[in-house]
Amino acid sequence: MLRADRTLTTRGTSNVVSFRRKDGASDALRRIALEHEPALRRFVGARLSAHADHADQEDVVQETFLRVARQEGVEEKLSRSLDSVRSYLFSIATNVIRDSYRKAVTRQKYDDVTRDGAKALGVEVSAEEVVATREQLGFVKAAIMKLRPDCRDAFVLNRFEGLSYREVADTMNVSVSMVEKHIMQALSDIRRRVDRGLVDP
Amino acid sequence: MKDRIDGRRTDPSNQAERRAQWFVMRLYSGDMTATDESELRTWLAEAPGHRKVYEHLLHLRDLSGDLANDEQITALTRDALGARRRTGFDRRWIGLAAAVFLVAVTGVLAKTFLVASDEAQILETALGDQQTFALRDGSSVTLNSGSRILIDFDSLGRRILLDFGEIFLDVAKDPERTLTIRAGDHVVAALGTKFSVHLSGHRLEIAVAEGRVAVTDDNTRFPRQTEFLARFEAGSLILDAGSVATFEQDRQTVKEDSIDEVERLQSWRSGRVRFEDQRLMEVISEVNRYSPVKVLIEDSTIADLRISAVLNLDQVEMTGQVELLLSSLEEIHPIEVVRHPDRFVLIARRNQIP
Repeated sequence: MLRADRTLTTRGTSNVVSFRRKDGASDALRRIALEHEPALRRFVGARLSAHADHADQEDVVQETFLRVARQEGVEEKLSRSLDSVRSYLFSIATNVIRDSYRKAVTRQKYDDVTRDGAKALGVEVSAEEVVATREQLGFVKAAIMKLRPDCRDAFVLNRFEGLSYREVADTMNVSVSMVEKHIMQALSDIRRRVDRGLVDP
Repeated sequence: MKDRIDGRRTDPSNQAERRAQWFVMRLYSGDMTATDESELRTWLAEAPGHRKVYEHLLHLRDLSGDLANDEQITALTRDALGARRRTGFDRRWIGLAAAVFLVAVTGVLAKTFLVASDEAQILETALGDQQTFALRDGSSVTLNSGSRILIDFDSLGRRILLDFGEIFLDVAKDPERTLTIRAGDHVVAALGTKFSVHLSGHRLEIAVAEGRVAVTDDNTRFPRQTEFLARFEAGSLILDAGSVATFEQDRQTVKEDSIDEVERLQSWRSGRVRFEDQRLMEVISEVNRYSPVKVLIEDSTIADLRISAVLNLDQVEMTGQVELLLSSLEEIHPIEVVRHPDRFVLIARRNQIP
């Protein structure tokens, strides 16, 4: 079983995760830890709710690096461009956060404790979202299918192909700022359609 | 469909939603800045409704991840990838853009990352190249194109000599051993901070992203004592985060609270160099720092044109990136590029009606 030594230097502003594996230091991991760890920590901080504390944040960061270490072909994945590696790390961190939320839900079922449990894990979820998830997924899918073609392309390439905005821009042959506009529009349209679906399915 | 989406509803309650969309979009851009982050925190704290709409958007975005194996969604993604058009640089949108902003089609910066050894050593990068080195104390140093440094770390101190070029430092805190950078006639001292130092001829530029650094022109020797910083600070200039300091001959300028400029000056780290309303002369001299093929301006009438542009750094195809930038300049400015095998020469466009 792989274990990260939590040799976190959390003194002052410098935060460097020193990452070791039992089977020796992994250069690629060490490299991404150094290069992306501040951005990852910032990302995780911005994703967790107001109830999350520093320890929650550290847990997610550590778990993210652990999952990366377990991935097949990790060296190849990490040798890609800066943007791509970061995009990849963020998607893994997102999964870590979602999983911690799911665990809270499974453990405590849908009773009143659920939200407190989720909050304790730094994830704030409304009761509606806990129960409506499965139904919502159908709405989300329908909403994606109905997106304007350019917004849809930008959204799916980023979300499902894991491309950074830069790579999406290259693929679609538009500017990065255009991709950013498409992504915002897609988020807006999905939200609107899903919420309308909930009111009037 | 009646409910067509134009995304421009002016309902004020939509302002919060637009803001939330922007934050979620930025969050996944991978280059959220410290400023974005603190803006997000402030905004979330402003009203309970802000957090609600933000969390809701995140929730829906997360949820969509469960569709990764969905047949229809997979087909859509494949189509989007297949739509990849390699028709070269699409110039249509440039005409539409009010601001002149150039973006290249390709340009993936392959970053290499090496770990510096115990011994004092010289690190250098070729033209168009960039490299990041992890140092043993937990700091890291990134060398921009065409730079050379000497690193000498021991129990007494952490010393770097910037011979020429530009470096970005992310300094690990070590109160026992101040990190100092000697550049030309100046010495810069740092404790747990992020900043860049650029030495070009006699011109020295320091941009501080986080923390603070101290600069002195007393470069008689490298510091040895632990109490050095206190004494050092007494006789030196202190630069806080967001400051850009320039030293040139006897002139010294310090701009404070200029975090945008700091970010612009350090944008090379993310694989692009941004120019914002700068003189063509300055832009070209910057381009030449990366370009294997020299670019010359042979007409003083165009030297002061104001240019906004982006140069993408691509170690493999740097010349192509430079050409891309130049041909885009040709489109928008009264400039003509004369292409020689070993150099590009910029002249004023001929046959131009004044």
